[in-house]
Amino acid sequence: MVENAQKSSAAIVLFAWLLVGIPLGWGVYNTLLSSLKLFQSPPAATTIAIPSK
Amino acid sequence: MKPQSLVTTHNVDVNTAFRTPQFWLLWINLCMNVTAGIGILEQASPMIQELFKGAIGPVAAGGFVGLLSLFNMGGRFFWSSTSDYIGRKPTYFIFLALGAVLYFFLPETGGDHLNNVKLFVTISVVLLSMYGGGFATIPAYLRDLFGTYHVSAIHRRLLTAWSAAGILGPVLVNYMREYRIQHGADKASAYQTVLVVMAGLLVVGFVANLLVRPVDSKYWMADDKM
Repeated sequence: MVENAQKSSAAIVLFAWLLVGIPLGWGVYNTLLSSLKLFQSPPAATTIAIPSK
Repeated sequence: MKPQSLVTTHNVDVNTAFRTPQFWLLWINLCMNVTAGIGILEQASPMIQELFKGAIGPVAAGGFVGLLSLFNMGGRFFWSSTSDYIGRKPTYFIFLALGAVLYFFLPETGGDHLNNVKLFVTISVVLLSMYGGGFATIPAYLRDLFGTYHVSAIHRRLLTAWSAAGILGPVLVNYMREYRIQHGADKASAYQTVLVVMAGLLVVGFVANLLVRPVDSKYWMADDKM
């Protein structure tokens, strides 16, 4: 165990987490938003058979 | 966490580790896992659009690529943490065995078969989570086999497997796809062969993982050399 270890400032730790967390969260949110379009797409076009007269 | 037979308390120096079969088995392991993952990642957008022609447009395909990236990232946390409990070798068995089955099945979800976008996306994100997981778990696998003394240097050399896969994956996918299209296959069915080959690569990795044993004591570093 290290004996004279200095404790990090809570404010610096919080700032560092926010610095990383905010852009990461924004990126994840936007990625999830754009991936929703994947499940809202219309079904594949199907060929409808029209009986000949 | 229970102690596992592959977890050593000894150390192997980097040059000696390079000459062990374990190093090269892990090299094959990583290379096969990454080749398969990078192959799908590189073609993700055109693949989903061609497999579900008319149903998935470029915007939705972009969302798919984003989702793959999220699972690639999440898989690194999830699978490496899982490996702490079940062991590195069993974790790689899951990547390689489950991966092979899923790659084999993936083309069946396409528009010409099951036509199920949700199933295709679900399988793809699981596969990409295992691609990220493989990458994140390998340093711990190296530490288990070779100890901590030179693990960083050994990892650096093992990363050549990733570099090789970075060339192999896209080249394999592009050439095989082009070859199939030139021989009359339509774009959607051309992926079938590619994905089956990816499954085959994972089987090769599975065999390599199966052959991994603890490092022989003749390779251990003597305590006075540390």
